[in-house]
Amino acid sequence: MNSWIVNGIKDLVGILLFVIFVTLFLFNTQVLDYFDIVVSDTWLNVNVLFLSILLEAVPFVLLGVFVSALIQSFVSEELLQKVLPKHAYLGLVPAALLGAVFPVCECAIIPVVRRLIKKGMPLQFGVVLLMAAPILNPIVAASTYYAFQNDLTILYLRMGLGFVLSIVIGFVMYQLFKNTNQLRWTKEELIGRTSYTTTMKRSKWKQTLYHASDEFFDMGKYLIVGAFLASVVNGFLDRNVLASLTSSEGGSTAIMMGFAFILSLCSEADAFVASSFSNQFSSTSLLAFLVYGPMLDLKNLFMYLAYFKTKFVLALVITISIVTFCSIMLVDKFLL
Amino acid sequence: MERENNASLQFHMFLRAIIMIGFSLLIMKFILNETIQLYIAPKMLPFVYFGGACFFLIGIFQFFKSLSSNLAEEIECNCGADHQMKGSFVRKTIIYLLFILPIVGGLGLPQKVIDSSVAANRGIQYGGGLYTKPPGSSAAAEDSKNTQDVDAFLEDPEGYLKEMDERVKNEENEPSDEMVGYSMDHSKYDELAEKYSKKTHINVTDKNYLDVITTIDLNLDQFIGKTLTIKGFIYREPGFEDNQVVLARFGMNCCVADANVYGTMVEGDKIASLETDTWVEVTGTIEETSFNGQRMMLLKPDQMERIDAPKDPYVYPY
Repeated sequence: MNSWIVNGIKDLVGILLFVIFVTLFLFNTQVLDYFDIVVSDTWLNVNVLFLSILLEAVPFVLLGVFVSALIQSFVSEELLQKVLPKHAYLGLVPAALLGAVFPVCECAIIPVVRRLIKKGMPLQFGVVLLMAAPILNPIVAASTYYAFQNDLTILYLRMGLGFVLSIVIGFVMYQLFKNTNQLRWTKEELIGRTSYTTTMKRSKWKQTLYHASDEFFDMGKYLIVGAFLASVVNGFLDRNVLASLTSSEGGSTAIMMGFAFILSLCSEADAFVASSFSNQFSSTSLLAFLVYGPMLDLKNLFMYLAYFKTKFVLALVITISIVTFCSIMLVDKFLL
Repeated sequence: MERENNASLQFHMFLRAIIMIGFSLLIMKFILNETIQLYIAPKMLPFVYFGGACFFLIGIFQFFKSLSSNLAEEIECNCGADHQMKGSFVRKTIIYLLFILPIVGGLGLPQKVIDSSVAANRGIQYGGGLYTKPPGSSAAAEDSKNTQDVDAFLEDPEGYLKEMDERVKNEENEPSDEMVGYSMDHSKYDELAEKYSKKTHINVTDKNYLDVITTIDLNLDQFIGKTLTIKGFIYREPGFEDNQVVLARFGMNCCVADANVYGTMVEGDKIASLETDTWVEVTGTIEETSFNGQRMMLLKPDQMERIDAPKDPYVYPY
């Protein structure tokens, strides 16, 4: 009886939401006028920027979500594990190449890697995959290409550094932790494991669709928060001030790395944001933005902490930061 | 327990279906009233269509699924993951509100073109943007130099201008780092320069905007004395004289977030009375000037007309 009422309310909420959408679709600003709401120009600017970043990122995210859902449904992890090499060091390179095969961005790769590690994949390969997949991936390459058409060296360096750094970071993490268990095991996980064998008779295509939608809602929230913060920063922050904070190449690289961390953009869309900074920041610091962001940012720090032990995450954060900064400085000295 | 679980799953799927359809409505509306170009560059449109179609299909599919009575069993799959959302009621509500925010903001708020306040935060690029300063390293130094420049100018205007010319020449001679990172094909602009320098009057349209002003910026000497017709909105930088304005356009690569501001300096008494953000079409004679140590084109207006903001206010690099 009680649950019947609750369900009624729930249905009402959904229907109400739909009615709101349709009303706004048909009347838009008239509704605003009707309620006498005035929004200031600056916030309207932020709204435009917010929608623009979202509209531009969402198709790429959907693309990634679909492909990763396909992999989820059609490629068994056992098969993947069979393919993986057994040698602790030599395996790092193919693991990075495997990252290039996974066309998913940082939000999607973390659950996949966790599953892989649970099924017995060595820890260091998992780390390499975590670092490589968000950068070395066709969709990221495509969006970087679009955003930096005037300067393709950024694209090449981004991909090259993604490959090299993922191996270096995997190597360092192996030195620190060997192949110990660094995962958190959650209660849901254990329940999930038991239900895992129950049914497999449903259509795989349907599952793919469910996975795609689930994944979209799972990572979409991080995307929306990221896009919103980014648009507020875009609308209010005077970029000349940001650029004038420091005069050294190292300083601006550090600033852009910090910026990449806070903005938490999806690697499939961050190139567009980076290119918007091209008149305030050097290509070196933009490169730092593009390489550091996919490996580590605010939103995937939370995801790391949810899945891995705190000490491990701490070591990972420090390693990524130091390795990225040093390598960017080297690139600046010798290549750019 | 089983039924409860099922009801909760149904509700989440129902809500998600509606949110998905909401997103597709949002995209559809932007496309229907042709305001999509306020957000996204034309070359990105196929991706947006794809996104809209996906939202619509998944939304409809989920809607019908949410009516199914044995959903919990239906979506059981071999991934071992928990398909239900975790967390408290408040957390779930906040997450759904996050998804609703852009839909309501997009459908309900008036659509507008980003204006000079955004331009102020981004900084203006004079010419075609090829001469962007490699920032970070030089920006701070540049800033202090500018304030010194102002002082120097106040003390000794003529000497200052001479010195400025010298400096500009020196900068030209240096194989400057500024060009590194822009491996653009300059022969394109040489060809364009040849084409345009034969004309005495150049009409700048939305299509050729960036090409023309880049060409003039690179080959200023060939163009001094010619007349030019150009559209843009009025913008003033701090440090401008009363009779100086910039005629600016936003150039968009992919989305508004990466839009840069391109501007042409205009100097005239009539233009001083026009408010910032007004759209005008100016016909004038090309002269040269320098601002912040950068040699650039200056337009002396002969004719000036207020116009409505164009439907598609952006210019695109390609």
